[in-house]
Amino acid sequence: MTNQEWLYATKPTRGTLFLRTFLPYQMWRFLVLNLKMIGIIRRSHGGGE
Amino acid sequence: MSRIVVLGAGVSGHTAAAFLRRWLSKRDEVIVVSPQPTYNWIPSNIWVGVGLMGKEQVTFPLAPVYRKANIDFKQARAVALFPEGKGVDPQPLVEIEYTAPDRSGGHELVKYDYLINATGPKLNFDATPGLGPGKNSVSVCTADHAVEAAQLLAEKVERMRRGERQRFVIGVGHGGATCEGAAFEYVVNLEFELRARKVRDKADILFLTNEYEVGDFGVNGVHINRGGYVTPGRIFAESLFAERGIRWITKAHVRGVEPGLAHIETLDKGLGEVEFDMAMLLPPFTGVGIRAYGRDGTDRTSDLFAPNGFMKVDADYAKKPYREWRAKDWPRFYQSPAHKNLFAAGIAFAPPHPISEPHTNAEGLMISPAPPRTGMPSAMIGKAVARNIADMVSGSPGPAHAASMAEMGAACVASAGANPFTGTAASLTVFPIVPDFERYPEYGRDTDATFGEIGLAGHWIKILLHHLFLHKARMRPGWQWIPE
Ligand SMILES: Cc1cc2nc3c(=O)[nH]c(=O)nc-3n(C[C@H](O)[C@H](O)[C@H](O)COP(=O)(O)OP(=O)(O)OC[C@H]3O[C@@H](n4cnc5c(N)ncnc54)[C@H](O)[C@@H]3O)c2cc1C
Repeated sequence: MTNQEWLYATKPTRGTLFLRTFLPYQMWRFLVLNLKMIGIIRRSHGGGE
Repeated sequence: MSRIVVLGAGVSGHTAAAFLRRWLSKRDEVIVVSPQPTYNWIPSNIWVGVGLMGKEQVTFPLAPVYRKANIDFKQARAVALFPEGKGVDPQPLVEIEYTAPDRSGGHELVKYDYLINATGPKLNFDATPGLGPGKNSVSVCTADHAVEAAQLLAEKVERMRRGERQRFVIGVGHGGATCEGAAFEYVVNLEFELRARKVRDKADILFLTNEYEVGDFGVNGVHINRGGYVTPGRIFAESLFAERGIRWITKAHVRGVEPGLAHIETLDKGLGEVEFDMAMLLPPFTGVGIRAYGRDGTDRTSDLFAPNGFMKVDADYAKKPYREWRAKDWPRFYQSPAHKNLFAAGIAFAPPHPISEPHTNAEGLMISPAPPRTGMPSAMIGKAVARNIADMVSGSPGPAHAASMAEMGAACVASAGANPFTGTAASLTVFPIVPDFERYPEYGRDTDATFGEIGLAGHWIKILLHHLFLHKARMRPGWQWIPE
């Protein structure tokens, strides 16, 4: 099975793939992502009220 | 004493009812009318649809929750509104038809002082011949649909284990469908599960979408600030597919589905056919078909509702070219212009126009996503409407708390495989949901707040959200502090 589009798609490097499930890094990202999401939620509430 | 009737116990209506009960006095009445006996945390239907969760993990009975919270629950569907009353009585009414087994089919006229229509979508499978459960494709829009999808998937896995190749077509089943994000989640979860069940090499997976590019998601895509470039979301979506060996067809309308065969039409390649062994295709949405009548019985449906059945609110519905669309066309208070005590929240309100640039085929059929109203805005709108009604009950002249989708952001976590150690999810934030090119001339959004990343942390957040939102919906201690 081939797909022309796959040739032109950006693919993650081995390093990127490794970091996606590397526990210490992901624990850090868990914190960062939560803060980013809370930021958006706050801003949305602030903008609306 | 005031009586507030909430139609629909989904994300939007349930949030509105819970906050109304909290903010109104004991003398005021809150009534919820909804046809299903259970609440469904719909985002987790994706995991039911791949066999990782049972129906009971994403649903719970509403009656005990409402009984405890002192909210009156009527298991019924709304069929007609009489916003000016009926005959000589000027008291506004809603006609409901019971669906509870003990009263099934019985009608009642329920009086209201304020009414919130949060009835969500009608799943319009009929728009495409042969589409949908009971016909030739499955869906994950309801928990029952998702259970059926999981059963079919299990059957296909068995075939693959016996050495048969199987073709999966996942996506949307009509050119005007919405909810591409859910289809996207399902296809990557399905691929992950096939790997987990060690049959991936026997599967051909195709994503079929009405989006102009993958990663559009009905919000005209997102531009993500990443690695020193502002990068279109398409790059990340295509990357995810290419990495997982998923093919994709964009700009597609499904003209019909036969057993094992979908007839499609794309904007760039015309007519075509796609064969499949399992197709999960989400339907387009319309309003649920509530009628509206004047006091003398004249049909006023077209005054209150847009032709697609969604309720008209304080938006600018004037038809204008795409380039003239403005963020301020979008509603802020979700109040009916015809009746000040009538509101629509969540998917039930009529959007003024699509968010993605519309494209049509030669016959004038739109092949581009309808605007999504995902969980976070639906809940925030429900809460803002509840706040405004509570204020109006206490004497405020009108609504003051706005919740425009052009002024709020969204945080989305799209599961890309469920496993506590090897799973991943794409975490996305956008601000605002509806692009505002007056405030952010280049992309319509604040690229500092628009963000995306794939990883295990996203999966943990998704699991956390599943439990938090079910806790909130069950109105368990502290529910009011969990953000929407
Ligand atoms: C498979 C899937 C996955 C999704 N995943 C995500 C996600 O990950 N994140 C996200 O943010 N959003 C997601 N969404 C979108 C999200 O589910 C919706 O945004 C949300 O459910 C909209 O809330 P609502 O209250 O407007 O409508 P609904 O949740 O659909 O609720 C409508 C309610 O009205 C009731 N009703 C219907 N007809 C009547 C009637 N005539 N009278 C009275 N009541 C009626 C229904 O029974 C229901 O209780 C997903 C959607 C799908 C289909």
